[in-house]
Amino acid sequence: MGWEALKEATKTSISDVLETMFFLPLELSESKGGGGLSQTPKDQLMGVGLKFSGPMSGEVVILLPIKLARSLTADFLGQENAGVGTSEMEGTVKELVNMITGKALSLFDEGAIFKLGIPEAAEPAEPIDGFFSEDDNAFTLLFNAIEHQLALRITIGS
Amino acid sequence: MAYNILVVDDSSPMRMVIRKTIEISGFSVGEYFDAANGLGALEILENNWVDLVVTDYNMPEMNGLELIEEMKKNELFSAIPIVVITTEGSEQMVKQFIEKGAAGYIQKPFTPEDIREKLNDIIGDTKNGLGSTEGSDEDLDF
Repeated sequence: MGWEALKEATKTSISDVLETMFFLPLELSESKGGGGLSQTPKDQLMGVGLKFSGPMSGEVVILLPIKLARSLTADFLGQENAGVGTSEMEGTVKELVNMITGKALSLFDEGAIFKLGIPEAAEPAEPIDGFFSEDDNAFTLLFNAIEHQLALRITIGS
Repeated sequence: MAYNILVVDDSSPMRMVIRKTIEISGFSVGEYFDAANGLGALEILENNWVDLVVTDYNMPEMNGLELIEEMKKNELFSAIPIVVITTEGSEQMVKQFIEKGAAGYIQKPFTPEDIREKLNDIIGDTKNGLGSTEGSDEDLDF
C-alpha cells in the first residue's frame, strides 16, 4: 500500500498547509506516544475528522489543544485571539483537515481521484493513548508547534 | 477598473481568507459577494453584476463543477470567468474543471502570489494599481 509513502505525503502536506496558510512552522516530534498532548485534559482538546474514499478509503482525524486552535484561527483570519469565536475555530480546523487531507492524498497518488467527506467534530476515544497507537491500518503523526503539539491520525479502510 | 467578485465555498473562514488574499494580492475589488454553495451562487448571479467567480469544488447541494455547468448553460453568466480553488489536485479533476469551462485552477494551500498570478492571467494586469478604482469606470446598467 505504500505506508511510508503515505506518511511522507502526510508530513509534507501538514507542513505545507500550516506554513503557507497559517504561518505556523511545524517540527515532527520525536516523543513516543502522544507526548504532552496525551496529558492534556480532554475538555481542552479539539478533534476534527474527515472520511475519504477512492482507490483507498479511510479517515483522517486531527487533535489539538483548543488554545492552539484559537491561535491558528486568529492567524488564518487575521484577527486577535480574543476575537475568535467557537464557530470560527471549528470552521477553521475543519478547513485545516480538509486541506491537509486533500494535499496529502494528491501527493500520495497524483493520478487518483479521491472523494473527501464533510469534516465533522471527532472525540478521541478513551483512553486517549489509543489515538497514538500504530497498527497495520493506522498511524499517528505528532508535531511540535511552538508552545503546543498537534496530532494527525490516518486510518485506512475505516 | 474594480471587479465584482463572487467567492463560493462552504467554509465561512475560507471565504474570508480568499477575500482577504485577493485584496492583499493587489487585485482591485469593487463589490464582493459570497455563497456557501453553487445554488447560493446562482441566486447572487441572478441579481448582481459579477465579473469573476472564485469557487471551491467540494460543496453540499451544488458543487463547483455543477456550478460551472449551470453557468455555462446560461447566456447571462456563460462569459463570466471562473477560477476553481480547491484541495483537489488530480490531473483528471483539473482536466474536468477546464473542460467544463473553468478559466483557471488554484490548489489549496495558496499564497497571495498564487492568486495574483492566476487572476492576472485571467482578467489582466493587476500590478502597480492597474485596475484600481481611480479613473473612469463604465457604468453597466443591469
